[in-house]
Amino acid sequence: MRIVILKSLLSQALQTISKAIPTRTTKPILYGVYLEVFATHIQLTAYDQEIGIQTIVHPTDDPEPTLQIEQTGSIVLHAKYLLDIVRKLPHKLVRIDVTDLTATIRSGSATYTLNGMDPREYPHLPSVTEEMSLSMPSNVLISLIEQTAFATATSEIRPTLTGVLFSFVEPQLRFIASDSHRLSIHSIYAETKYSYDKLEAIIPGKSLNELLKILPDSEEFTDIYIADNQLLVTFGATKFYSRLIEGQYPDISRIIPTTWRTAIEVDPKQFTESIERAALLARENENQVIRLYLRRTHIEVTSNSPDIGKVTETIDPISFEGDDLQIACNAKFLLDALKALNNYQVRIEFTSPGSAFILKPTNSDRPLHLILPVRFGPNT
Amino acid sequence: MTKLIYGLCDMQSFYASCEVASREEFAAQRKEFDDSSDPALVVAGDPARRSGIILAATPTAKKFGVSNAMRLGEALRLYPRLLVVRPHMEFYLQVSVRIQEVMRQLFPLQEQFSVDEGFFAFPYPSHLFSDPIAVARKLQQRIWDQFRIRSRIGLAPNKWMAKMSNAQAKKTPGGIVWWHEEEIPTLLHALPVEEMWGLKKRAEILKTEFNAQTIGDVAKIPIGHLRARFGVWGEVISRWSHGEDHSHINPNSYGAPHKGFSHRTTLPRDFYTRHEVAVVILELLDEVCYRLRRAHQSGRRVGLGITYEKLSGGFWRMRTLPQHTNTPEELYPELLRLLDQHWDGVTGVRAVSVGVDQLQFTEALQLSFFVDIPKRKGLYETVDQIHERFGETSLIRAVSLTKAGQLRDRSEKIGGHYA
Repeated sequence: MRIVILKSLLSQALQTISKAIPTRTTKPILYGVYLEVFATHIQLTAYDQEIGIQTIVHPTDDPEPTLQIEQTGSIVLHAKYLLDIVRKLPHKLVRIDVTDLTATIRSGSATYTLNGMDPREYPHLPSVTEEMSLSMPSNVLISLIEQTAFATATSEIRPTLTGVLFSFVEPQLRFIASDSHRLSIHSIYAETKYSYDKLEAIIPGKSLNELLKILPDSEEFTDIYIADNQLLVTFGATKFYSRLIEGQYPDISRIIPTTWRTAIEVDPKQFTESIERAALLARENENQVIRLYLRRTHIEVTSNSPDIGKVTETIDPISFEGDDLQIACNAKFLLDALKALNNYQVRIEFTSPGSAFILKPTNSDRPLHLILPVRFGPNT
Repeated sequence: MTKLIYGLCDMQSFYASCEVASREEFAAQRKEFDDSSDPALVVAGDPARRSGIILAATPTAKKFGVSNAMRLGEALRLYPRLLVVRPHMEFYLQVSVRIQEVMRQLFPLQEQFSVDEGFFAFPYPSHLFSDPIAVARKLQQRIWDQFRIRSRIGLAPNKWMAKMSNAQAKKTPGGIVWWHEEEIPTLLHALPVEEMWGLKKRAEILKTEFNAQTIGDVAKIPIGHLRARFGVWGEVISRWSHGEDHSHINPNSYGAPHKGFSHRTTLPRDFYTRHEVAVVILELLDEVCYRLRRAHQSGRRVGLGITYEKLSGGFWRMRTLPQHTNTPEELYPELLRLLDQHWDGVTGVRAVSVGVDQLQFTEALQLSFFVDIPKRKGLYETVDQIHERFGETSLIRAVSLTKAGQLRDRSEKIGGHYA
């Protein structure tokens, strides 16, 4: 194979697929990017067998050539090295010549000879029938992920909780995530090609976090396909594959409280700063516990660490409804939820010191974040 | 000026002494200042097997050449009429606790140092302890009167010197020695380097690299040279060689919060299947979690140790969790994951250990959507109460009844020996 390509174009494509290059693996071929040159375009593939990313580069009609295909062919090259090399090349055009399993990369004064790997050994991407699909603007998918993926579990005690539940019940698509101590839900109305009664899948939180890094923050449409054990998301010239988590997601229908006894409205930025200050002393204590004293006159945030000291801060809420209440919770959970809601004025609804409380935008039920408190002593 | 005198009191052949003292026929003839009044008795790991190891031997047995850690077969070759006794660990621990208590009654400033040693300190000169040798003798006498166990006491200006003088006391008739500050050049410096307590391999280096034969030779080495060779240890060595030690008596050293809990067991045969190893892991984890609950603590890091067949090779791997926990439900899956990641699944497993550390005191209960946490806590409290009242084996997991289960056998042992 022989091509000449614009350095920036190649580096961008490599950047995209590098999210599916493993940092550690027992199969060295997975460190590679599978580079295929066809008569009309080139295609780059990376697949760590959990996540797969494939992207296509076409020549354009610009007066200055962006991609010239001189001879078709394929090779697998070590992706991290290739990316580092391409970034640092001196000239804006790169020439890649491959004979057998050796690639020669030339740009300006630099010449690299890289040992390649055999494309026949590269694993095949999963096949996903492009039938069950949903379409939505890329930035909408981003917000679904941003509102939920952070709440997935990091431990494997319940493997399904390490993923985000993707649940489509026409016409609503809901993303749900929980590590069993907190729960986040966001939903949108999605367009579908066909009509489905119900479409459900559990997508690994890690995959969604990688997808977030390469999704364009634009109105451009993305298509989401769900097959047996695979997810496929397409946007522009890029395809993103992910394994799905098998198993039954726990029933969350009865978890969300429908009534409340105390409700406050806060400015997320101001509230976040107060919690962050209190959390400085909560860092070392178990569960990063902070306490909230909600009173009609003001809200008090406190935290103490027996070895270090304690902190008290008062906040004036924008509004206060209902009864006085004392509650304790993990500061990190609160900060994560407030960060997700930083574009909204936030309403927090409490029921009792021993039950979950809700954070959501003042005038809407989505996105919605639920946090379970921490209780003290044997009988609390 | 009133200063503190530090003492170290240790029991002679502790396990063996407990056995002699608890047998009427031997206890009656036992004399405090006559070692030969003891029978030639040894406590051996597993008396049924000649490959068992000698854990303790009376002075009489030692006269025949028997020593600790010797194989029983060899000891019996040296003296075929040796009295061989299996260990009674629980009994020794009970005696140990009571002896420490006797020390504390005489000296409120007291610190347990091991199962059969304790440090103490008292002011001198003072009215209460006007004659140091006499108060040391009083302690020695009380231990003899109550337990029929001989003890040796070293008194000195600090803890390290007390340890050193105790070593001398063992070789001194009467078993009590008091070293004064001004005796450092004559008594301490005359001792060979090997007798500097706490140095381990460093003593050998002092001999070969610094040509130091006595502790006095070490005291002459410039501290800079020692620091260059041993790092911070260099300063400690220099200080000790001059008879200095600044450590204090810590009465609560055994009551201080633990840094971690771990349990280990050696299996009666090699285990080859994941299921069998998993049973042992769960049993050990239950014990670790029980101790965590008793201490009102929970941990963030869990470790799994596997020793392979022939007790050679293996691994110890740890995993840090997102949250502190002390429940088996949360720790067990992590341990299985460590097992799957690091065990090849083929090599035989002969010993297993499970540990939890990075501890914190648990006051707060993080609630969960899917598990009733307060209810689970109540369940474990009930299980613990049943165990404390009716014994460890009164309520066990069904899996412990399978062939792989070690719990019932293990519950009869302390420190790997039958209690």
